[in-house]
Amino acid sequence: MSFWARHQIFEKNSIILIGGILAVIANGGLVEITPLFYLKSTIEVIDGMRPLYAARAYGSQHLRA
Amino acid sequence: MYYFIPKRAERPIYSYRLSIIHFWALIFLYIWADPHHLHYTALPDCAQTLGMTFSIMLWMPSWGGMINGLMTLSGAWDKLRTDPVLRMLVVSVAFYSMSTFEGPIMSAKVVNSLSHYTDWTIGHVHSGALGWVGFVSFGALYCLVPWIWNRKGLYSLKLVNWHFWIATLGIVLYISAMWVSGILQGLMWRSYTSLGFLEYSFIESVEAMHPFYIIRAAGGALFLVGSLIMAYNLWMTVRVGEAEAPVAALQPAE
Repeated sequence: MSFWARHQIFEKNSIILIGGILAVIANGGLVEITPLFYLKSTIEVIDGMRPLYAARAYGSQHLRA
Repeated sequence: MYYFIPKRAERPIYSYRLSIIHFWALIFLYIWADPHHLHYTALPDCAQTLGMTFSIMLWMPSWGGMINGLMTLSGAWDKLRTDPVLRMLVVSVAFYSMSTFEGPIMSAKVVNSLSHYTDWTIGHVHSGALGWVGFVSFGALYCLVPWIWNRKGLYSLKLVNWHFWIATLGIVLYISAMWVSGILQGLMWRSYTSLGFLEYSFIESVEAMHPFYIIRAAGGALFLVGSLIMAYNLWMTVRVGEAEAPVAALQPAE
């Protein structure tokens, strides 16, 4: 079976096509998003500054007002 | 595009293999390109650079797809003169090539530092949404309605022609107004006086947008008028269109 004929597997079976699409799409997301969770440089540590999560930052702003 | 253009032009797709490459390359590359929306934000530089690089790589599959669509017309270009529906589909491909050419340029950080947060982005999105997606959807509807309701053809090709020109004029007004106002905004926001102060307050840049927003509204209104013409045309196709003659049953071969 030639390379191009093998592509019919995807064209005739939508579940396999969805699987293929997910596998192909996942690459970029994995490479670009995963490092954000472990790279130290993503969140810069500055002396005396305490980073807040978005919800806490929002809440503390409203408490002050 | 891959279904309606070959159907309407009565030509096979130029290259089946190219369409496969177009599909897989597009979905593979596009996810990588997303950080181009987040230039100069808290997103790490490596992701921003990757986003820019992959956006530029996207030129190839999207233009490959565009060429595939246009080459399908070879030998059938004369149909553009007589068939406004096919013309709509082809102009949609032209807008696809235009906005996918513009996109990678805007994704470059140097350009993005001027274009981001301005109307240029709005214009870019609308050349895709109105020109590419809008026109290909109109063309598809003009094909589908007579098929579904079993009609010989559309109620009026003349009205399709009117729709085509009114909508095209609308898009051109819309996107060129957004280009000019976007670049104007970008330049106003970044200009400093000799003393190092910002030269314009934000509200001054909003004021400067006024004429362009009028042009934009006029363009959008024209586009809307075009689709109302289409709605009327399709409605009349269903109501008074001539039914397609039933296909004579073939005699089984003896």
